[in-house]
Amino acid sequence: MTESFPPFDVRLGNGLRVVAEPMPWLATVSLVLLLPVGSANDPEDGIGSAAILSEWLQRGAGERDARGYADALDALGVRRGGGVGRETLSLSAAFLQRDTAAVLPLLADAVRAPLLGDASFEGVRALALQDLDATLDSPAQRAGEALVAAYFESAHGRSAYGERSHLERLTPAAARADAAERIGPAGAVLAIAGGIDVAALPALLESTFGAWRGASRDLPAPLVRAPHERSVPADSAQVQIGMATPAVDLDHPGWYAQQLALAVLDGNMGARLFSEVREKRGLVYSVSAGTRLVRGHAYLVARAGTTPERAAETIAVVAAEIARLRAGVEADELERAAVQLRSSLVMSGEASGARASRLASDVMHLGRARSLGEVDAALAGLGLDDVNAFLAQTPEPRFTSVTLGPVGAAVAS
Amino acid sequence: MSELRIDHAVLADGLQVVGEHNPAAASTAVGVVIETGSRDERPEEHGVSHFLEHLCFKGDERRTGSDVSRAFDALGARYNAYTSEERTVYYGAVLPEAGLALLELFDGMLRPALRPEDIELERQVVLEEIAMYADRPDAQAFERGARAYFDANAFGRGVLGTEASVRALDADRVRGYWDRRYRADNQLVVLTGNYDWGATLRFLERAPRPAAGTVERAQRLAPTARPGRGGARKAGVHRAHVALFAPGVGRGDPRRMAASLLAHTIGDDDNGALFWALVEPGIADSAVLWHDPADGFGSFQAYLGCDAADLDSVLERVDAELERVQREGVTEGAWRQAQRTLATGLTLRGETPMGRLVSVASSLLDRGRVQGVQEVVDEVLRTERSAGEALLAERPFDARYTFVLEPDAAAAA
Repeated sequence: MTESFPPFDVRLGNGLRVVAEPMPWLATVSLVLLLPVGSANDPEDGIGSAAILSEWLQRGAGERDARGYADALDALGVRRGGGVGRETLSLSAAFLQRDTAAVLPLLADAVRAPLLGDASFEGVRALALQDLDATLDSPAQRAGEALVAAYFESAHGRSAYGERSHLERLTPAAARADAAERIGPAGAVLAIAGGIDVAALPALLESTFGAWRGASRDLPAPLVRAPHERSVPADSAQVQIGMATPAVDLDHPGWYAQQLALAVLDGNMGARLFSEVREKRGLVYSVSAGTRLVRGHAYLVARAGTTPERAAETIAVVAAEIARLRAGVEADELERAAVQLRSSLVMSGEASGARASRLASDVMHLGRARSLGEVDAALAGLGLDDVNAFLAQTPEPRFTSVTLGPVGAAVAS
Repeated sequence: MSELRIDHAVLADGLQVVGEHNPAAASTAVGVVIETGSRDERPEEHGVSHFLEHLCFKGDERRTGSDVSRAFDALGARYNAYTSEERTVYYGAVLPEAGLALLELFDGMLRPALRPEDIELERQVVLEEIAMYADRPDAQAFERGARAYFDANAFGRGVLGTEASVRALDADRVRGYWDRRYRADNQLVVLTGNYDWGATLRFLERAPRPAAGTVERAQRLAPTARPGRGGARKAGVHRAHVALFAPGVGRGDPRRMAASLLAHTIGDDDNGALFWALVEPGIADSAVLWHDPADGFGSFQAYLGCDAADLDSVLERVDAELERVQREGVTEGAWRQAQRTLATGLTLRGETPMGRLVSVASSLLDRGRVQGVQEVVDEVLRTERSAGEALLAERPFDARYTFVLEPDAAAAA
């Protein structure tokens, strides 16, 4: 633990933070670029602008038009990903190690020199509207959106897909102006994991991401509403249930105890939720609970889907199981949870994509990247008394809950 | 890169065991593949393959369902199972020292107790799963489309079964199916990563498999593909969901790689022909096409999601693109891009034992021997464009079937 981690952690002259973890046995490299750009810091009259930008950035860059850009990446066999959320816009890529020097300049072009041309704007806007409408046919996703909207008072409650009227009004000029104000290197994180040569990175970065200029915009502080219930009518076979309550954050001393307790609650099929809700009562096919992070706030989200006549019982059982954590966990449960988390940790260290995502998210939320060893030691250092002492002092959970389904479906408190 | 070793054995009762050993791997993945699925069900058994997969997690004579779940968790396993038209797969990954225990757990589970009370409870879970998919119009379009395209053949009937067919499954029916299909010579045990081959064989040779004997090799009749167009309207659906089917090639067919590459050039979600015709201009939120090889036959399948008002123009563009591809073929550039992108994807999946598991199993089952990642990558890069053009020369898309699930206009008004 005395070795400094990660082995590569620099802030470029333009403010971009770059962290890298070599996995020398791999022939592949995964890269994640996270920008503090999302619906939470969309302009007041341009909610959905981040969604537009996320797509527009990929429609040509540098000397290449949209097609030329996609072809150049594909010619190198680059697998792309990315998207936009409430607080982050992400671009990710995976490629063969030997192509690193050719791929990095292309990826940097997307943020450094995007075309953002008028010709591609209408297509991007139309697609953003399509994506927004497509959520109507995904009840689980709609319920998730509704839950976050109910939970947050601050702009974190906005949908990452934006608002229809805003998307319709947005002009190319306004979106470009927005890009100029927040597609910048300060506050952004570039994480790289895989078969990389760390010694070659500085020179490669300087000529690519190092040449990126641009401003950044702060994210708002999260603000949570008082707990309440909402029901959203939908013509569906199942009722989608979402429940949220505050949790301790990643930088809180209780974080690891909370992770262990949540693994007792919902680590796997032997955990309490699965056992009580599905195995013993057959109430659902899917039920889950876990922490979600925004900058400066963590919360617990539980989700389930069930047919209307079983919704009230499902909500009651899920709520009771979460509340019951305060009474403590048993030694055997905790041991299983610890084995679960620790072996998952080892396995996450085998895949470059999982590592790159974790590094990027750590820096975004914690300001620094944690090694697998650090997390493992923190989990291993906690015994039953520690976890139960943490749980005993947690406040009684008060949920903001959302149900989405047929009108008249039961909502229980 | 470390030295990989391929292991393969056939035990006295016909059980096949295969492995790709990687001494440097940090984990071990274990799978049991039963060569059975919805395609092998009798009409009165519809849904039994998937139901039995669920019931195997409910315990054997020595263990309850909770015992099984807790045993998995105590090993720190990441595990699950799935059922398709042709295969039922139980799989998991653990740290190397727990590999043998994971195999023992799977082995025991596959002789389920099938207690009546477990059957009743788990039936509710499966009915919830059916209800969940009923709320997903994209899944519905495929389910209904496949039923029509494959012309009532068991292959197109759907894996989950219907509410009525699942309600009709009792212990005798499940037991009868298990007897017929879960025989040793119809199973493959697969291991990847860091495992102990000698100990594995010693255990499997000792483990009693009462279902030893020869599996009934029922003829898997190839479905009659029925070109044309079908559709349905459904209340609660907001957009048009299109499932498209066209004849492809089977799993064992030497042309399957060319078919995958061809599908990629047409339907890749970042840079395929359909993307540029439909998604880039924002006419559809999704337009993807892939090749699905099965036992004895195969199909190209595509999904499109769009605004119901744009359906006709979307279908016209799809027609035009498929016609253009059949007439003009694929450019050398697009073919090479598909090769490179597919090769990167294969290499990435090969990073982890879990990522290798199904590939190792299917290469043995479909092609008679285990192909390493590099060998498959070489095959991808060797597959020439002319092989794709040969498939196009048969004009597969002329024989396509298109199914559209649309909003119920009356209900919407």
